[in-house]
Amino acid sequence: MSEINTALSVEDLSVVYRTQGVDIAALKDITFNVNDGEIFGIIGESGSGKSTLAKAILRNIKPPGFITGEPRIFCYGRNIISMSQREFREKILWQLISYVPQSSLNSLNGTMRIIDHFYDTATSHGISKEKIREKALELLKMVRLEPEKVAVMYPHQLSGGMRQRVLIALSLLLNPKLVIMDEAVSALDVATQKHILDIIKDLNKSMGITVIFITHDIAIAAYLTHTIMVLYAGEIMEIGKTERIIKSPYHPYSVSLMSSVPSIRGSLEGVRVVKEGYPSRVGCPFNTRCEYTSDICFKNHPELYEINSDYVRCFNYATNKPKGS
Amino acid sequence: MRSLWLIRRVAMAFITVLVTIIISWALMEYSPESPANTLLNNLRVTEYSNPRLLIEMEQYLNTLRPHGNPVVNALEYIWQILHGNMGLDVISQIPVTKIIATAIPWTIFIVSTSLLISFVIGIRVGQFMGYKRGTKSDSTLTMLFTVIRSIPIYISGALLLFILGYQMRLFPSGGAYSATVQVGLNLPFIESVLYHSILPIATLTLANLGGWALHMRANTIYTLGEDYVTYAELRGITSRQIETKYVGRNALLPLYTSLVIAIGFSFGGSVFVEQIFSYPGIGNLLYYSITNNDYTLEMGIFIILITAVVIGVLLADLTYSLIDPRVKTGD
Amino acid sequence: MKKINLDINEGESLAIIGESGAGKTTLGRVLVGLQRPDAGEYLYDNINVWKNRRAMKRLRKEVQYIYQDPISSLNPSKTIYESMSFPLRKQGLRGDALRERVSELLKEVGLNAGEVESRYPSQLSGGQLQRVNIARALSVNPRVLIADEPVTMLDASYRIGIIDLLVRLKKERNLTLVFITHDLAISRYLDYRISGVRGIVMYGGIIVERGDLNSLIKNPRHPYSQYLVNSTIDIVNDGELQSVSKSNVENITRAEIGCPYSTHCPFVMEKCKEKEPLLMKIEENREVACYIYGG
Ligand SMILES: Nc1ncnc2c1ncn2[C@@H]1O[C@H](COP(=O)(O)OP(=O)(O)OP(=O)(O)O)[C@@H](O)[C@H]1O
Ligand code: SF4
Ligand SMILES: [Mg+2]
Repeated sequence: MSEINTALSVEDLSVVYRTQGVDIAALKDITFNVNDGEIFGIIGESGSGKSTLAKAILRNIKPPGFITGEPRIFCYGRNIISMSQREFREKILWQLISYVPQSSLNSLNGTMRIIDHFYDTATSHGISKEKIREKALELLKMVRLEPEKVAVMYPHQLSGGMRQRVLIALSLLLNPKLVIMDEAVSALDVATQKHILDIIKDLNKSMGITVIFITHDIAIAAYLTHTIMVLYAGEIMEIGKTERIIKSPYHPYSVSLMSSVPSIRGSLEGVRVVKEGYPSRVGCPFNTRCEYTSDICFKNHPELYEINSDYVRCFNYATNKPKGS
Repeated sequence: MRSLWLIRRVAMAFITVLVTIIISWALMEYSPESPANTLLNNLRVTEYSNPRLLIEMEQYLNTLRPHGNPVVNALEYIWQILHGNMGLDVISQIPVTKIIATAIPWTIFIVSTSLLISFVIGIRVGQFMGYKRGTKSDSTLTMLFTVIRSIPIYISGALLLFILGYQMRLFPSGGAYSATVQVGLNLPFIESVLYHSILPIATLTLANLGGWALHMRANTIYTLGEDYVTYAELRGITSRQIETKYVGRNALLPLYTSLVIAIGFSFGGSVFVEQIFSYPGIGNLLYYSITNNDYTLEMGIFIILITAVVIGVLLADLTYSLIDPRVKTGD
Repeated sequence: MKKINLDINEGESLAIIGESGAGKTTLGRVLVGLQRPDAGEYLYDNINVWKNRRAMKRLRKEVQYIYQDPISSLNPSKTIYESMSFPLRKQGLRGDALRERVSELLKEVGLNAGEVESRYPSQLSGGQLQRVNIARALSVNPRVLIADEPVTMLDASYRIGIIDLLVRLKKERNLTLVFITHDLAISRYLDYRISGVRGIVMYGGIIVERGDLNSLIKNPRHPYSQYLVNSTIDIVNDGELQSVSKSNVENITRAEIGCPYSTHCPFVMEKCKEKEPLLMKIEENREVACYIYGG
């Protein structure tokens, strides 16, 4: 089920948000693997379910959100969804999996100094303040903040970009093996973005930290990740090696995504407008915007088909066997 | 920047108090029958044992009598008040400051004790309710507090007095201490004071409890939805730390201001309770002065009550930045 | 924003590029007459609008602004039709004429009037909302459009559509287009579609470089422009990216005197810290404010 080189495996994960008695699916039957030591990108437009996926893995779906069905989530061979909440908090959170939240503006407690956030995290896992202080300062320095100065500041005294960097530093405090980063660089300006991405690359290379990197920025996913998973309307549209997905995407949605990003160096000839529209509720969710539809797209829901160990959810690839069969 | 802001803020408070004094002066000066004139005339025909007091009273009443230049009058009045001369009580002919000084400790005692008790219990229960939002215990408590809060204090006070005081005879029916004890720092006296204060304090506590609890409940629910709480949970922070440092502290901060302001306001808020339990505080005094047309006393209490409110608001303002790092005053 | 000299010619396209805090939005607000310059003058059609009421009135009508956040510029409690008809009513349109004009405008920006008119802003996608905003700007027949990061808050797949729309409108209506952005790739695409876009790079409230946009991105000359181009993550990843940041700890302070970039610049000289460099022509179609090139 979960081999030794799998960092994370998620099977059959579905999440709904219940509003006024109606369930709105935010994630549908999500199944994927993240290999140990890779940077795994999750891309998709706003509302496609990226953050919901991160929170589900971290067991933080709260009402009105509910996990439905019986998902299995393994992290380095440990079944993290069936263990007790207490064990999950003590042994898994931050020691095995850590997280960089999307909203950097309000993620820090305004009544606490920056360093206290590091201390709290350490003491909650049985590590003393004295032992962790040096490491905390080192991490702050790594994200290009003046450690001694920033440590004693309050969150409101830092700019949005600086706060985002504090969150990245904090995620590495207890040497996790897997870090889930939700739009970790979106709030930063170009230069700092690149610097942080290079830090992440370096952490991944030199320390072997596995990263799940959630972003809506395709250029960044292309620059940073090894594998990309494309989400649309809460479903996986495609999973594949980054290089291949950027150069020759399979799924019509991926195709339109890639062709909608202009370059500052390369040719602009391939840049094309994508049809706008809402996800469809019947048939393929992309059938309202797709340029490759056939009749079946409006009637049936496509499976995730396997091609050369990549996956794509589109009837145009239906000659390939569905995933898992 | 900060010191400038401080000076401005304190000056504002001082001006507010001055305006209060001027208003109290104007009420006397321009009321139709000129009570000050009557008082002054009465004063002149009464035998006085202490001539110094007589002179003070004359000075004081003179400023309230419509004669000469009103501006000069008003300034003189302010001068007297700022020197602690609020005149003599019309009826007992004791200096008003002295009467107020004897009454105030009693009020401060029951008011601050009840505020403290209701605040501590209120925020505890409120936080509990916030955490249990939507459950049966939350909705029951919410309903209970809403009902209790809507009962006027003179009804709840009278009920407590009737049931616990008269019917069950568990507590005395009034006064601050029993007539049989020796006033001073001795055990029987202290016991008696505490015993007599229980019903008034309980009434005031009951009146305030619901407000604090419901307020804290709302703040807790709001804070629980904040990103920093979710992020703390995801860091594996212990729920005890989240409850105190993340939820508790942030939900409590906005209540701090309300608490300090409430202290200022509560001096005048205990009128009914003191009246019901014949408690010798400033509220009782106010009631007495109003019903007896005791002008000088009335005005003295009026000034004291407003000053307490102004100081409360000022303190809340000045000290908030000390406890909340997010508020940097002046910039 | 500090001292800026800028002429915009009728019918031209201008891209103002810079990161947050560069002063782009302030410049945009001055251009639409929302903000009065502290010093200097702003001439529209050669008339100082802050000294001439009628010129200002004309400016307010003829120069329209498109905001970054598409939802906050529309009233959430009004349908798209109501939002659209408001400026048209002021022009005296009523009844059928009004209805016709609204659907005409919506059609011009690529929306199906019947589909969106009766909806509220919360029921439209970001791309659709931005189209509504553009349609509203068009309703007063402007001569100039100032678009302040109009696609930054949209999902990637909607961005090109909006740029294409602006390009088409510019051509069809012969508009003057001022495009404010932090995104080099998007501005390059704009130039690809219109060609001849003039580019301006701003830093610390001044213009540091100015020239033909395409060649500016290909061959930036100011150290800041070079840094910006080199550190932009691009979808075409040809390994040419190099890290140009010198210091390890980011210096967040910006120089108050001298060149605003002097605290970050790897080529900084004594002179840079003393006096602000002025824009200087260094070659055909290129001006740079930097002492490396003399001055
Ligand atoms: N608390 C909530 N209540 C109701 N619906 C929610 C809630 N949180 C998320 N959703 C819905 O779930 C879907 C997925 O949301 P999610 O935040 O995971 O998207 P995302 O991909 O992270 O988007 P973004 O790029 O904007 O961050 C959306 O349709 C959203 O409206
Ligand atoms: S299944 Fe049909 S509609 Fe869906 S993406 Fe493939 S071709 Fe397009
Ligand atoms: Mg998200």
